[in-house]
Amino acid sequence: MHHLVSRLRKAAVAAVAASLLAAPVPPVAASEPGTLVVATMWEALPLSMAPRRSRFFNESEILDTLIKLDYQMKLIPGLATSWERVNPTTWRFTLRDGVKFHDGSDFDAEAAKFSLERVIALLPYASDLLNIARMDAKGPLELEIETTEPFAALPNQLTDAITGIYARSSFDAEDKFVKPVGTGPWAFVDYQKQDRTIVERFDGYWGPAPSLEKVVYRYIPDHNSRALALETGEVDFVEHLLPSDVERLSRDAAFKVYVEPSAGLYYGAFNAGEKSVLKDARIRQALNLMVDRDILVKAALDGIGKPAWQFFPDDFPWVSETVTPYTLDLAAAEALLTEAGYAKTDGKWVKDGQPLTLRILSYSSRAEMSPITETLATLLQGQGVATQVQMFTWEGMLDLVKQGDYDVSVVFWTPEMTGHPDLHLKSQFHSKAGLNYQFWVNEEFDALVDKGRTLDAGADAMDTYARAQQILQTDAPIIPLVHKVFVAASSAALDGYRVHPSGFFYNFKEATKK
Amino acid sequence: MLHQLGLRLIYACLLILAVSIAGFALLRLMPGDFAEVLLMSQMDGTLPDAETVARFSAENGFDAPLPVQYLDWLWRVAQGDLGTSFVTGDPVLEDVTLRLGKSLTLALLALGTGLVISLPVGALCAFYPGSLLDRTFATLAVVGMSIPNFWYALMLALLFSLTLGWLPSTGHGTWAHAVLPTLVIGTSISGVLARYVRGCLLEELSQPYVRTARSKGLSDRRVLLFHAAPNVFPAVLTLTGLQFARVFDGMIIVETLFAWPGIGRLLVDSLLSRDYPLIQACFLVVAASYVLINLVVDYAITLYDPRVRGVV
Repeated sequence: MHHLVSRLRKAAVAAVAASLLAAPVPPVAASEPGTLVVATMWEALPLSMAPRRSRFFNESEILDTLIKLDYQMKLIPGLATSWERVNPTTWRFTLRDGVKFHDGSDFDAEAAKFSLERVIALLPYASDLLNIARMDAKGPLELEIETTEPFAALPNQLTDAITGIYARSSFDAEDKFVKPVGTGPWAFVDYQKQDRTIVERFDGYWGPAPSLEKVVYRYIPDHNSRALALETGEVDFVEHLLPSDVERLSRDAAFKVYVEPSAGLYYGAFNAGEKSVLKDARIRQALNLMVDRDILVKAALDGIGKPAWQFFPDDFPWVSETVTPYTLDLAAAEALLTEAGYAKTDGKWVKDGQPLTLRILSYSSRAEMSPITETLATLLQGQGVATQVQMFTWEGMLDLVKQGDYDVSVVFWTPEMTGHPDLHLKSQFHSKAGLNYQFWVNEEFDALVDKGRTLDAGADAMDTYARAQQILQTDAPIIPLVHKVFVAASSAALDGYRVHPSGFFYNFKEATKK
Repeated sequence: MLHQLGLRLIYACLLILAVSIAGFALLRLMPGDFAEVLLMSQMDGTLPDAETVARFSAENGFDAPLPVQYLDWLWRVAQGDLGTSFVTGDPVLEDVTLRLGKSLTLALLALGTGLVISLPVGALCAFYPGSLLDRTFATLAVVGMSIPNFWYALMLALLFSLTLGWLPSTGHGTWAHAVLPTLVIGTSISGVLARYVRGCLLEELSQPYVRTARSKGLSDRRVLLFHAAPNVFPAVLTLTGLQFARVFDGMIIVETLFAWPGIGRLLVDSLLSRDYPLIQACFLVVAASYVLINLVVDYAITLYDPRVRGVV
């Protein structure tokens, strides 16, 4: 028996020694100079033209859009250098001269027309977004677009990442999408499924040349693993940090943490239809007055988010001072509920013996949804409103929402993505909108939104949208909760990176790596 | 015996068929209109209109009764056509085979690691039942069985990648990348295996033939290695085969954590994007591997152990 033990002991010692000898070769390859390795939360691109995927082509700047947004969400020239509305339904775009695609072919009006037509044919979302009736190449560098109705928001919609311009060689002879060939600073090189996408600097780029040579987008779905990969030096940049990592990495001089407001709003959509108590606007307003968004952001997101008291964030260019944000006003909320026929007994709001109860739905595929939803429910309970929280998949939730079997659905949208209020107000809150499952009908709002999209930017447009936003506040089909804050981190070696507020733009062309 | 094995093979096929029916039904019974949900995932959450849904439904045969759809799918699978992915448009077979190798590598390495750890530990504990050593390993085994993989994997990654810098924390491609995933799954199954080996050996060691062997003057080591061990081998092998389910379980988490592009992560990703042909194929491949591995184990045992020949 002792022989066996000593034998085993020797074997164990030998095994440990062998593993120690084998292991110390450092397999953790730090990325090469000139190469930036980025860890992404979503798979960057199966090579297909589905919207989220094709957005990546623009996010990573393989493609350029005709028009771009600057850091203040204002329109700046992209592949189009200027644009004007020649009559209510016609826009004329002057295109940039001397631009080459990655395959060496020339960019011109015909190429832009071809690309937009392909995008519209392949992505139904694009046709809703752009409202294009007809496109004409009036000259080599002049593109004329006629819209189906007077449409002032077209230049803004043309900043949407899915409208990026593809070269003909992006498609095969049968018009099937093959790979993204664009005019951007980065040319697509390789894609390994569920693993990585590689882009390389395009030396024929029309703008200032990037300093980095190569960007590798690695798909690391797990939040903890992504942060760990940054700390071990396997990647240089990670997106979507957990709040707990933000604090830890901020204290470490080896890393830079980016915490910037960006497009995106978490809000509770109210069911204003017959099936819910929330058809009474007074209750919707009361809820808006009784939820402390500051506490919500602290409790649900460790403070990483901007408390939302109105639909658009106050730094959005289209927010006027005439729009009044909500404030925490418990007395006003109580007055409204009393007016609506409720009385507070034993700390609970009751009407005709029935407690005020809200069925709150959300979906769990976005990590932040459950803490936000649960905190909202807790805060409401604290004010005497009973809640039932149910988490689903996005599709499962929509199923109930469409039938009106809910009171509040907590959702996330990026309403200011194109820098124009039309996109979201029209598609989400207009009574005829396909996505309006809130059964909210406000004719005055409809008229303002229908008018707003026909007006050129200016005082009139500003006033129209301010009034529409004010209705959104006072008639309250939603409860705004949190404006999203973008969180990412990089190694300290990365310089010149700036967070783009649209939320759909990596913009590594100005970045350098020491 | 061939007859028996033939029967087992038929049972195995029926089992795989049952799994595929269950998978098919499960996908169709998920909330949301099936065609609409699929279209929506392709359109990045934008809702398609009723007409588009109807056209898409008709194009893909979703308007046929469910049994017809299932048989249609089965018929195509029988011809080796697993369909094309709804999300990427690539052939599913290509997607699955690409990852099957990576996952099998991980699974076999993990099972191997599990055995390498559990066999000597189990034997040692059976040799000194009730000793400090035995109790320590018993505690470790329980701890190992109870620790959730996602936490354990992160702890290992913290130690070996961040603190020691020996191993990469994510990715694949070199053997170094395989060490952490293998270690996580391998050690997580070795607790069960070690306890089982110990239990079997203890039972064997109390058998009369062991007493006889000892009374003949054989050393303890000889008794253990050449008399008791061969008799517990079939039982341990059976349990090892069954552990494959746990290995796959582990792979779903471990592949996501270590960004290892295998079947487990393919399944997670395709579930999230409702890529139904891909999900069906993953179900099929995983179920088939499980059944196949256990069939091979059973077959190996009948070859090895004359007592069970004819009973399989």
